[in-house]
Amino acid sequence: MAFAHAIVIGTGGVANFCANELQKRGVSVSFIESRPDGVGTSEAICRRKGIPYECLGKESLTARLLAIEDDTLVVSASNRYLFPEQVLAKPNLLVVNYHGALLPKHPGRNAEAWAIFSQDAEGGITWHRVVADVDAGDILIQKSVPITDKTTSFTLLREYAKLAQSGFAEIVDGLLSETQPSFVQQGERHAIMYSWMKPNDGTLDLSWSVDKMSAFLRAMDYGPLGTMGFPVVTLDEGTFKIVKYGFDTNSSNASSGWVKPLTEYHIRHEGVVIDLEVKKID
Amino acid sequence: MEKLLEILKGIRPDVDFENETSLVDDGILDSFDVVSIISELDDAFGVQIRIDELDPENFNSAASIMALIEKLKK
Repeated sequence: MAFAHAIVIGTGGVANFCANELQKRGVSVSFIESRPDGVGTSEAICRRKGIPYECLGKESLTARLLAIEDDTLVVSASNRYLFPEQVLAKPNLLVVNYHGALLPKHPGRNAEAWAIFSQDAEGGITWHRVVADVDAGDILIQKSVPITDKTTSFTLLREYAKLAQSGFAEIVDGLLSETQPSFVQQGERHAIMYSWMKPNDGTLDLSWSVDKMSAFLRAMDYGPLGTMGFPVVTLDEGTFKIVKYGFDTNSSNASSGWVKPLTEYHIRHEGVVIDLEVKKID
Repeated sequence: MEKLLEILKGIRPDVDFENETSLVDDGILDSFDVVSIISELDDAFGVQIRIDELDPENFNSAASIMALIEKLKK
C-alpha cells in the first residue's frame, strides 16, 4: 500500500462514506470539515467510528495540509475549499475530488442544476485528480444516470451521492496502491459556474417551450435545501416568487391566467398547463 | 407517533424506524434525509427547526425525533 494515511475533506454522506471505506481498509484516516453541512452527520459519525474530526477554516486547513510529511491520500467530497497550488505541488500528497457532473461538462458549483437546465439526457459524477484549474484534473472514474422530466436538482443530488459512493468503492484500492489509472478529460470544457449563478438569473421566461420551462423549474428545485432560493416570474401584476409548481397534461383550462388572484397562476402552453403557486415580492 | 412514522417511511421506506436507535450515528440517515425530515416536520407538525442549530442526536431514532417535536411545540 502506497498510502497508509488519508484525510477526507468535505461534508455529508459521500465524505462520510469515503472515511468509512478508508478506515475499513486499515488506513489511518482523519476527517476535516471545511464547511459544516449544518446537519452534523459527519461529526456524529466520526465520533461513533473513532475517526479524528476537525472543522477548520481556509487558512488553518491550508497550514494543516502544508505541514503533512507522510505520504497521504487526500479525498475531497462535497467540499468548497479550493486547494492552493503549493498544496497540490507537495509530492507526498495525492488529492482527488468528487464532482457532480460528467466532466468536462459543468465544472464549478451546482452542476446538477446546470445539467437539468441544459436539458442533458444524462447526468453523472466524476472522481478526478485535483489540479490548480477547477475540476480540470484527469478522470479516475465516471458514473452516469438518466435525467428525466421528473428529475429535480434535489433528486439528482441524491442520485449523485449514491453514484459517488459506489464509484469511490471501486477506485479506493487503486488509489491507495497508486495503481488507479486515470485519463485526460475529453471533449469541450464548459465554462465554470459559480455559486451565485442561477439558470436565467432565476427567472422563468414565459416565452420558453414547456420543456424548457420544466427544465428551469426542476433545475431551481433543491427541495428543502433551498440552494438557489425561489425562482421568480414577472406577470402583469408584478414580480412573484414561485413557491410550488406542477404540470397537468390533461387540464381543460382554456388559457393562461389567475386561478386564485395573486396566489395561483396557470400557464397554458403547448397543450400543457403549468400550475404555479406564487407569492408577490414586495 | 403514527403520523411521524408515516412521514419517516415516506422519506426512507427501507429503514426500520420502529427499532433503529442510531440512525445518524450509523450513517443510516444522511444529511439529505435529515433536511427532508425537517421540511416534513414543519409541514405536518408546524415545528420549525433551524438547520444551523440542530443536534443530530435528536434524529437517531423515531422516539428522539418525537421528543424533539413535543419540546418545540411547547
